[in-house]
Amino acid sequence: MEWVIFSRTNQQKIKNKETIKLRNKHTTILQSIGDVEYPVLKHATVRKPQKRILLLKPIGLVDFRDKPRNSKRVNKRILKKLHLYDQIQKVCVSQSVLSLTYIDNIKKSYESNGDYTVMHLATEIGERCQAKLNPTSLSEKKQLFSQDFANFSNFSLSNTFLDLFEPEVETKRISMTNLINTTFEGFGYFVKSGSDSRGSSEDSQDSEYSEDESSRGSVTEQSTNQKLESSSSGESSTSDSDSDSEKKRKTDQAKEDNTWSFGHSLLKPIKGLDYGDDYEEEGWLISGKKSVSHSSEYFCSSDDLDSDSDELSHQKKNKEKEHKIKQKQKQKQKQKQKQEKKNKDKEKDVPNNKQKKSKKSFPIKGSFMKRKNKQKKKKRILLKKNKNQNIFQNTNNFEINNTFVKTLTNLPIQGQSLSNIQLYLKKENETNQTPLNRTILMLTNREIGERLKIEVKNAIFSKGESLALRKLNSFVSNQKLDNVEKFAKSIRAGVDQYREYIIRKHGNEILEKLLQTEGKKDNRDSQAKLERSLKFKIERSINETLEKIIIEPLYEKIINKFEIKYQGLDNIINKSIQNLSNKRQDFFQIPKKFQPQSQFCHSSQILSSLNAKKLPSEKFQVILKTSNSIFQTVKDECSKPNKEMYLAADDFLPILEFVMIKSKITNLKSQAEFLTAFSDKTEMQNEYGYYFVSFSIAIEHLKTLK
Amino acid sequence: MKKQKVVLLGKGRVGKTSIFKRFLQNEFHDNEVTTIQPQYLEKQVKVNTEKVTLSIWDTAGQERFRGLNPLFYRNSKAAIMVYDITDQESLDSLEDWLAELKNQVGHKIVLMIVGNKSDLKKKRQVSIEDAENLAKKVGAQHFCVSAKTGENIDEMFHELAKRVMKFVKENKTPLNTTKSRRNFALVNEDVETKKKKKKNNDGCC
Repeated sequence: MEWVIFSRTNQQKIKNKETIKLRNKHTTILQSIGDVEYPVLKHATVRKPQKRILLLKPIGLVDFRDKPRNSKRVNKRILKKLHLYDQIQKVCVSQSVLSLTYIDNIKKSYESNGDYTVMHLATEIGERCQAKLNPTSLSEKKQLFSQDFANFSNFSLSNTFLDLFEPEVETKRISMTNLINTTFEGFGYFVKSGSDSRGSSEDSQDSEYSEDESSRGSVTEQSTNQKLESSSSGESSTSDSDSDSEKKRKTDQAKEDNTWSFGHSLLKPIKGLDYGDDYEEEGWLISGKKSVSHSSEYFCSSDDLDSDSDELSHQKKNKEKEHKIKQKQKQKQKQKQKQEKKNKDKEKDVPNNKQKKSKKSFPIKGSFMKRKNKQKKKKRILLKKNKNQNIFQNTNNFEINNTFVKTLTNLPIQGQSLSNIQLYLKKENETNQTPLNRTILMLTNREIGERLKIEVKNAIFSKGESLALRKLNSFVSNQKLDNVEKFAKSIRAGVDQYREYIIRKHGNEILEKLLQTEGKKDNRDSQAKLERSLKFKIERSINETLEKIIIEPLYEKIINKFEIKYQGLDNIINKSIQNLSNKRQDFFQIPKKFQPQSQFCHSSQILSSLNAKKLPSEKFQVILKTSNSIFQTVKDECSKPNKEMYLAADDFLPILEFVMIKSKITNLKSQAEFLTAFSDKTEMQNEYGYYFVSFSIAIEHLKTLK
Repeated sequence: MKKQKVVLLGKGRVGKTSIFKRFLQNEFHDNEVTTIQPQYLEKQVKVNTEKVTLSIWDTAGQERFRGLNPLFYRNSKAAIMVYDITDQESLDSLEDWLAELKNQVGHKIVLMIVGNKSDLKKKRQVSIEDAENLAKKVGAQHFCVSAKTGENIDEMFHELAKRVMKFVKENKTPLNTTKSRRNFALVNEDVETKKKKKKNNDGCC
């Protein structure tokens, strides 16, 4: 058995390349690399028969591959049981290879950097080795460890470590989830390191690679993502190969290599390196092809217009399907040819075929995608230009009818009655704001939002971080219920860090662009005001897009966890909402002067859309809108001339309860918990915070109502 | 400077909302008042050329929402405790509020005790000494205001802003309250500590 182990941040070069022979057939290659950025690069220099590969990253995420004799079975096994501890354990204990010096070195380097996850991992390994060498009673060890972990309150791996001392118990699942936990605790860190390394890697990029690979720094992340993602897709592909292999048993060997090379896409993406002759001929090129398809997929997602990207991805999928079909056909043809030939020739044919395929498919696909991307970019630029011109051209040509209709449809939330609209129009006339002016304003505002979103998406996707984020998806499903809130908080923190990073890096740029389109103002004060409001808008929309990218795909899974956790409370509130649905406004002690005839139906309509919204920011907006519409209806329907109306918190809360019951939304508690977990701390000091707090108070109070 | 959260506390019908309203009217034009909701208010106050933004939260005073009010107090830098000078009960009930507040936020908070309706001097039931004694006891400042006439309102808020400024400067580190924090606050704390750790880790990569 052969092992290759990499530690990414181990800065001291212990031994560049060291082989130790142990017993029979057991060879160990230890490689510690000082180069922080490209651990995978050097990895490729290790010659041929890597059977298992371990990548130790500062995040604590581990990546390993296994090439066994029966690839089909093992592929599944790997994907299902990505299990670090077992593997390392085997290395150090059964083979006693990773002598304690090596572990100590890892430990020291991580200790100095303060990366606890990996440090603990290393200590754990060391302890385990020692335990094997000098066995003491289990209970003693447990005590030792629990003391150790008590020192690190943030560290959530204690379960795993304790469990590891009873090897017969099946601990794989538990430790897996915990592993994920730790990676999540490092999530914020992860973002940071990613952003840092990107800057340097970008500079070193060649123009050739820039289209194939977003950045070298993210190669490892990419690869891990591919694998984690492929936990579903990979299985399907293997199942495909299953059916294939049933049909064509004679090409079994080639199939095996195929799946293997797919797995090896991890190792591929750098050109111009000495991979070793054998690999270049057999596995590597094919893996290269695969990874190109991955990067192309990734590029599609960078194209911001949703519909277009969808189309593209569809096209691509179709292409891939066609490609697969072609492959199959080719294989069938070759099968026939083979059948004609003698058995001796078969073995020679298989690699040749593969070479042909790979050589053909690789350049065609790559160049196609390149061209596509270029066209896309051009289109986008054109679109942008057109948009900029159109805003002002079109508005001049607007007919009066159109603008009138538009103003009506774009009205801010108001009471339902027609009189409101009339009032609204009156107000507008008084403030010298013609409908035309207003539409222009609105259009430009919307444009700003859209443009901002595009900018942000470009900023994110061009860095290749989105791939890293996809990993989250598989993690969510493995979360324990107790950790849901913590986990949500860590996502929130990650989003915040992203936002800050983007604002720091691109904020001024975006602001300048927007200021150009907005035009300059004469007054300094008004200019400053404009800038402030634009900054606010930029922050909001960046936040929203980030949430859309990061949280939206995960929403279903996360909210499920919340709903399971707060099932009991949800049920209580749902029941009370059902029971109280027929009660009148008096029941909630709403004062008579605040009881409108419309019974706040508009507000409850707005609130009923809460569960359908997926982003936290959207949900907060729904809450704000409902409370605004409550004020509006009170103002419109209950106010008397010459008398000012003020809705105090005491009067507002019962109205909010009434609206909640009218809207008949379900699972309020879990929604509220979801929002508290995803709430922005600075936002919670604002208006959003106030209405959200009164919202959650109303929920709490609903429980007690009978 | 960041926004500083201020909560308005007091028994129901004591005149919290009208103090709020008066504070609004002194600053804004009458037309604009109608577009602003009186429950939540953000306002810049100048203190010796420096500006503080106060975000003032109106809270519910009725008994039935009493147990839920602590949600409002979180992260607040100051509290204005309002009582009615014509109602002895309202002053007595302040002590309950104070206890609750301390339970939630601890001692690190700027306190103001405000007697409302000072224009109704004939109906006065609460002696000024009582109120001032209470204020001394808890380290608060006592004011007599009238929301109706606008007496002392601006002075009160100005003093509040001053004290909040001073308070924030003295306690630049975020509030670390110990006792009965719930999930939300606890998680926040975790994030903060983590951030600190991450900052220390910068040298890694």
